[in-house]
Amino acid sequence: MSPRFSLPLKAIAVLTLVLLIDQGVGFVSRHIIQGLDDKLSQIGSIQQALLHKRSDVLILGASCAKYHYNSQILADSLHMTVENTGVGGMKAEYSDLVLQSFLERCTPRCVVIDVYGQLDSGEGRLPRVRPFYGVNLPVTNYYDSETDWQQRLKLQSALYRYNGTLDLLLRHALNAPNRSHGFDEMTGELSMKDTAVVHHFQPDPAKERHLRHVVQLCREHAIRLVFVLSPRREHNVDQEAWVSAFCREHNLQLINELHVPDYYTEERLFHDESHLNGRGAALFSRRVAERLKR
Amino acid sequence: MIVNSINFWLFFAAVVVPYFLCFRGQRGQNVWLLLASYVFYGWADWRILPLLVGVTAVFYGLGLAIARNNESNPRRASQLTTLGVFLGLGILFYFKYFAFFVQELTALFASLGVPCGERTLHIVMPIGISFFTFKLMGYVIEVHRQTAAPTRDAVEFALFIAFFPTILSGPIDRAATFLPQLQQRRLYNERDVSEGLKRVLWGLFLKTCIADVIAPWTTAVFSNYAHHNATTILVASPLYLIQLYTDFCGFSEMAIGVARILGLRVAENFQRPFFAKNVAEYWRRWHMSLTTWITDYVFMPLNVAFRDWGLWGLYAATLLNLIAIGVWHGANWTYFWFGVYHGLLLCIVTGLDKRRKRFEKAHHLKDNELYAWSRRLLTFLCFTFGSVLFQAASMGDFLGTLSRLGQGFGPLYTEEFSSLVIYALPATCLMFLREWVAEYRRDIHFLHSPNMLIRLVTIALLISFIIYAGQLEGNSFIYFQF
Repeated sequence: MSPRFSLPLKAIAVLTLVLLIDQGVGFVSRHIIQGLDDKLSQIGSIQQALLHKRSDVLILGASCAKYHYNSQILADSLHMTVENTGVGGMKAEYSDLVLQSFLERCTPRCVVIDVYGQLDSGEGRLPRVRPFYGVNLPVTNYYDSETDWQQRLKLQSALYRYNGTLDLLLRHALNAPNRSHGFDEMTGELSMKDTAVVHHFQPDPAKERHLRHVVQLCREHAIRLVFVLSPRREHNVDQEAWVSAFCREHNLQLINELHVPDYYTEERLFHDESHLNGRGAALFSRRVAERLKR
Repeated sequence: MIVNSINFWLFFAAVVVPYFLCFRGQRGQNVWLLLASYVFYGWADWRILPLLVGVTAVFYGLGLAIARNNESNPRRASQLTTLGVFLGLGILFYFKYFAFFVQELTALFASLGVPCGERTLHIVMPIGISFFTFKLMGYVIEVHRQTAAPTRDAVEFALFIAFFPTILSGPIDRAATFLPQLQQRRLYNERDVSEGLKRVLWGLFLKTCIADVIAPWTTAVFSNYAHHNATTILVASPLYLIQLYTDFCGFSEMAIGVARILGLRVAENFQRPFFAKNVAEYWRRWHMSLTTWITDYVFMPLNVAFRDWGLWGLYAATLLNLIAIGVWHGANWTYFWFGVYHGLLLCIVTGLDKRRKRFEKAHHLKDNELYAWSRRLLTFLCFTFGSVLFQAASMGDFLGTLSRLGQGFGPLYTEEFSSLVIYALPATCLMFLREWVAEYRRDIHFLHSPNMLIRLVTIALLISFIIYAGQLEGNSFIYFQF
């Protein structure tokens, strides 16, 4: 081997090895993730929402959706199947992707979107959907059309697609089976505190575009779309005004539970500043169900 | 455009190919590298580029004038050197410290009942200013001391100051070692390229698989310290030190590697500091290019000036030396007290040195491994405490963080902690293993194994691990803010 060409040859050998590892890990990871059983873990919830679930009522949103909407109470009250697809830290893009994925399998009768956090900037936990690039069409389209060339280049690597999934898989293995259709009950009580009022709200334009896309999809498929503002100890007045105006603009039903005194005065219904505990979620779900029946 | 981004590597490819293929002499290579360095710097902040070019021109002229007067008129040469040092310090003071001083003075006068009105200065701090001003000042001092020959070639000098792998975050190079390398043509050398790539790879591993994996958790803890208990603070503190080390060492490794690919050797910055047995040794292994700079140009002159005071003079010089290192990082009281804390530690170590040696001799501890490791652990804990001070946004935050230790233990904050355990822990173990091997077992090799198969497989596994477990979003480096 001529020393002048030895480095390029070694580089080719290393790249070939990396490629083999890449494809091997990618193959194994893809099969593991696609075959995950239905559990309440983050990766389990994402996989089920993007690839498998069907229901009459679809709950979209972030952690507030996951912890507040007791699917069983809603289903019993509405006499419909209900699937809660909320995942903590996800924003409007994820809600859009889940709705698109659902529409490939079925057409829900009603979509409920918990707006809190949906319009915040930043990608949040959206990278957790990367394992579904090349597997789920909406996710693939999203990355192909909305991310830069560097991200698309990186996504050609299977190792990158499954970057950070090992701990999600281990947590999935330790998680309980999903018998509550995506609802995760929070325990513990927050000692009583006064509610606070904040004013600043600047919706992220990209998130707003996805939210509008959700509205458009629902309109195209004649799906009833309901926006919900969950109760929380910190009231963002500007956000509330923005959501109200958005709902008026698109003629959407808004369930605003922010100012309902029951959550704040009578019992200890909060787990923390922004999430209800199990009892709070039960009260909230009953109230939402009543409004959905109308 | 940072070294852990795809943009940087495209830029580097566009620089390195013509660098080796198109130029027949060192001058062409230097001009090309200088252009690339200015493009690189301008990419970060084009508004500061004229400042960089301007101060480079001034210090180039100063260097020549000092050299001309060194023999014929030493007094004038000294005056010019002093001018250069004050100019460098002045630039640093204006851009880095002036707003802080105005703010502190306003607060002081207000507390004394003298109203000065609200004054907030918005001075844009040039990126890398602490690094290139130290190079500029070091150059005039070295030329005056005649430890470095002044260069008559303006391009050579400008390249020394603006060399793109090191301008943003060091290492802080010395004219005596760097300039002579620019005076000969750099030929494509497989050994250099291979070694450079390995260092880049290791740096990328440290940055993406350890520092950036730890960072979200430590940031979540320290930025909300009031919500965390003693357990979480006690776990976050050593983790922050490891994050700081792997972030900065990772950058230094990549900078050194990139320079090496170009056929240039720049100063080393770290030498396995976690294996240091005392604070003095730790500082000899940590951010070496800064500590040696300050030792040579601050500590030594102070030590000479204070020599009549005996041991107290040494303590005073040590304390001032460490305060200089502390405040070099920025205009914040936390950095000042960081320097004071380490200065006092060094004084204690120096003061107890003879007693320690007597104790070790009396108890036959010199070769006792358990004793050596307990010293390393103690040194690590001392630096851990210092790193809590280093990361705090203000002294109030630091004291607030400490106060949490008195609030009692409780459950560990576990949000996102699993990724730390699953990715950062094995990566940190690998880092310690490699450093232990480099420290004690030079017969074991992985990246440098004489067996090509082991070498290639190790490299392939490391690349795969980085892609699978690393944070590949091109996060910035902690030391860019300095």
